[in-house]
Amino acid sequence: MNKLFTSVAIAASLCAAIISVDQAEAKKVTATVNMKSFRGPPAYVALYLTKPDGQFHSTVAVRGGKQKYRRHLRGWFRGVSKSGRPVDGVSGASVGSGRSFEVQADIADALLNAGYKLHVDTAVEDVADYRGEATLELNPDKSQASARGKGFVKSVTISH
Amino acid sequence: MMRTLHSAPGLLIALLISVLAVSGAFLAVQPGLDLAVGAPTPVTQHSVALLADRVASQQSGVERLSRKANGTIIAYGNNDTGNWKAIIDPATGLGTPAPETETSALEAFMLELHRSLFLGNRGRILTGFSAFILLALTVTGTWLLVKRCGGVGNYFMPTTGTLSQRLHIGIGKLTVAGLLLSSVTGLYMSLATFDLAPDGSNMDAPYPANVAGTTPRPIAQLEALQQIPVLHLRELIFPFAGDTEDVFAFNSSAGQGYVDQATGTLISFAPNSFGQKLYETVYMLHTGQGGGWLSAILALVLGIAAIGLPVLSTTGALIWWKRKSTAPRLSNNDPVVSSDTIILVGSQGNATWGFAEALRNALKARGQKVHLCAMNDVSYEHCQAQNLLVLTSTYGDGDAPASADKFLGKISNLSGPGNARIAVLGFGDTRFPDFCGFAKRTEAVLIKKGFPLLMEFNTINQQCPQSFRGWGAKLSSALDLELALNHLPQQPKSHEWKLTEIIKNKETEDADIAVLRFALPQTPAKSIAFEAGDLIGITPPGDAAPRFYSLASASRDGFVEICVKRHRNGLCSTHLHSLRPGAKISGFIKTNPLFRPASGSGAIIMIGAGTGMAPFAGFARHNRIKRPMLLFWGGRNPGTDFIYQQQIMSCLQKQHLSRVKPAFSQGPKRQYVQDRVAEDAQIIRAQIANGAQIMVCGGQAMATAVRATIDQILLPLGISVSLLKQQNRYLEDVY
Repeated sequence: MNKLFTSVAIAASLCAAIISVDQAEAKKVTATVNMKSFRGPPAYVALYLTKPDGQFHSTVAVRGGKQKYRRHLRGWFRGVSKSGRPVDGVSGASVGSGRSFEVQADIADALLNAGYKLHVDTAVEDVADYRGEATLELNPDKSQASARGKGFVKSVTISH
Repeated sequence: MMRTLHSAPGLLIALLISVLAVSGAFLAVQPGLDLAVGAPTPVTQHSVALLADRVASQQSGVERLSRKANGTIIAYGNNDTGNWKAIIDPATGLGTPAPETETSALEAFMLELHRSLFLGNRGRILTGFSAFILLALTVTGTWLLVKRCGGVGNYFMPTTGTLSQRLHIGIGKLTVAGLLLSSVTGLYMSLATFDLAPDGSNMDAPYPANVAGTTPRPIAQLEALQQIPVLHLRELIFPFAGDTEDVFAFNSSAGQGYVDQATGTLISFAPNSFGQKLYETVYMLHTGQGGGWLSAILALVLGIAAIGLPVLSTTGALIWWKRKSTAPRLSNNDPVVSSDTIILVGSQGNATWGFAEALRNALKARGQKVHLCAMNDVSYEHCQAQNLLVLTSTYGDGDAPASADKFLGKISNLSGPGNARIAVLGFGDTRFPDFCGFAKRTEAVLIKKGFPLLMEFNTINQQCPQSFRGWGAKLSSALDLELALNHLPQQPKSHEWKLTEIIKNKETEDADIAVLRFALPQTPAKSIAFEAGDLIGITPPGDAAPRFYSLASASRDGFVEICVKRHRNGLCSTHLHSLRPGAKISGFIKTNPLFRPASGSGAIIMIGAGTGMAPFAGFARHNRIKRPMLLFWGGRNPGTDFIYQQQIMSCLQKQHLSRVKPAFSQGPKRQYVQDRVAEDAQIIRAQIANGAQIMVCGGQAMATAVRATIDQILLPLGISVSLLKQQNRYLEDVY
């Protein structure tokens, strides 16, 4: 555990070093989601950002195509519905048991180290829904770049 | 054409459809099981508000209530111990821990297999495509079926043909409605998955922009939820605990909407669209879920129909293979323009091609140039040869067989008159109402077009090799060629039969009729199963063509019994008459499913002459239930011909026969069987009015006379023999 921690810390600080050199206003961030093995059809997954006050900020990615069923990604659905922002170019197919997927996003510098968080909601038809089953701070300086899920997600990792 | 449209996609996708059918049949049992295992009875007077209130007060951290199609209510939640899931009693709101998934691992496996074959979206496309192909197969299959039966009216007549054909058609008839429903609904669901058909999923209520945000009321007092009966609930999503900005979201049979947790008002609502209702109906019809016992039973019916699919696929492939492997090889053909004789073939199952090839070979052996082709290939050139020989079967009730369905049209549109001399030979089965109907029409059209006749019209009943040889003799004299026409249709496997008994009334020269009994061969009993009225084909030494005799016994009697009349120059009959017990013959069983008494206890009127007694003796012997059986039988000499006299008397005593009327043409009264039938006109009329069945067995002349007599008898009832034939109530076994 300690070893992992150290290596993550080293990776994070390396990233931080690179970031400090780069003067662009947005950072390319890669989020990797690993699913546990679970019974039932493939899972719907939403990745989204919240503001420091916990309010919805923006969608990073949605996996799972049926509009009707996306309502089960509860935290995300509520936020995105209220924000009135369309979900464009960030959707994909639902994710099967044991699979993993990667999402890349440009995140404005202003959101880093500013209390913004990445949330993951999941839902599997007729099994369960999880709001915020994993939450990660957008903090490249901090060592925490990985989180475990409470439901269908094994882990979420961000690399800046 | 239609047959290709049926068999090509069928072969292509047989395996895939079978996998979907088996998994579908498994899933079809589930709705019924779910109901039988006992979903809690829904308490209709309760509202969703009350139920949700009770659940929330008894379980901590409720997030969602879901009412399944079978009525089970499940609560999902999250508290200190993590996520939980409970089955809720709708009356009390009390929960019992629910299994992790409601479905067993096996059911989940079958469901995913049925939906996507575990191939994701590609699999979903494949299953949707399969549904489309199944729909096409159902439609083309029904079309072929109706055509083969000779019209919709004859749809429920028993099927004839090989085992594969009978299974394919029989199962097809039983399952067509179910398969149609399964494929149409399956296709719709598949299209909906890919947004090509509406499922109403994009008609959501807008998420409420503003909520009161003040202190939430007790759930039981939320007015909008009070107005939804539990029975109409599909899903209720609770607001997050402590989040006053959040709302209740619900799905009901009426629509989808949001309820303010502080005011209890319905702040957003979208009624279910037509697309959604349509989708739900289709879903219910396909899966059997959500319609209570009625839909569960429908699912079972569809499941049973689905079980038929692997059998349909297998038998369909076998039929196709048989047709392919017996398809004519036309390599030995002379060009049309240089041929003396053109042979045109109209065939459905390819049997006629075998006869045509034998004819071609016989003609070529005499130095003729011969071109053999399907009737559909006919052109002006064909009609300019010296001779045009047409060999054709008839499909269903007088229709053209597959290789001849364009022939009449082509002949009518022929540019110029036909010069070839024609001879038409029809192949058929006298037991069908319109015997050789298409062959007759073919000849009529050719004559009308001006073709001169080489030979008069002839027919072959049940592929009889002797008749074919006889036709060859006539053709020989017409063409002034020595032709030997020998063709044996493929016969089943032969067995050795040992004669145990031969019974004659008198050991004299004029004892022309004998009853012969043979022991069953020492093979596994299953391989030889027969009923009285079936046939045994016996090939006499020194000949290749088998003769057929009606069986007077069934395999369960443990012996084969036949009745043989000796003909003066009959190779087979004199051979059989000369046999002594212990002698062995070679023979094979040919089933005769068109000549069996109808099941049940209705009356059977049996009319026969000579050895035509045999099947009737067997039917009477097995008449344990003592249904009324009337026997009219004609022979020549009362002294020697009444071979079954003793057995018939004992059957009368045991009431296995209810009435017996023999006639003897050389007896004191000089009567024929039709005379005895006419005497009993009133009795027969009454029995027919009561649904009796008539069975006739014997020679052609007798059968014709009996038909005329029965027609007379039926006149006051306003029906005829042909109508009875259509209803399967007038069966003939004529030779």
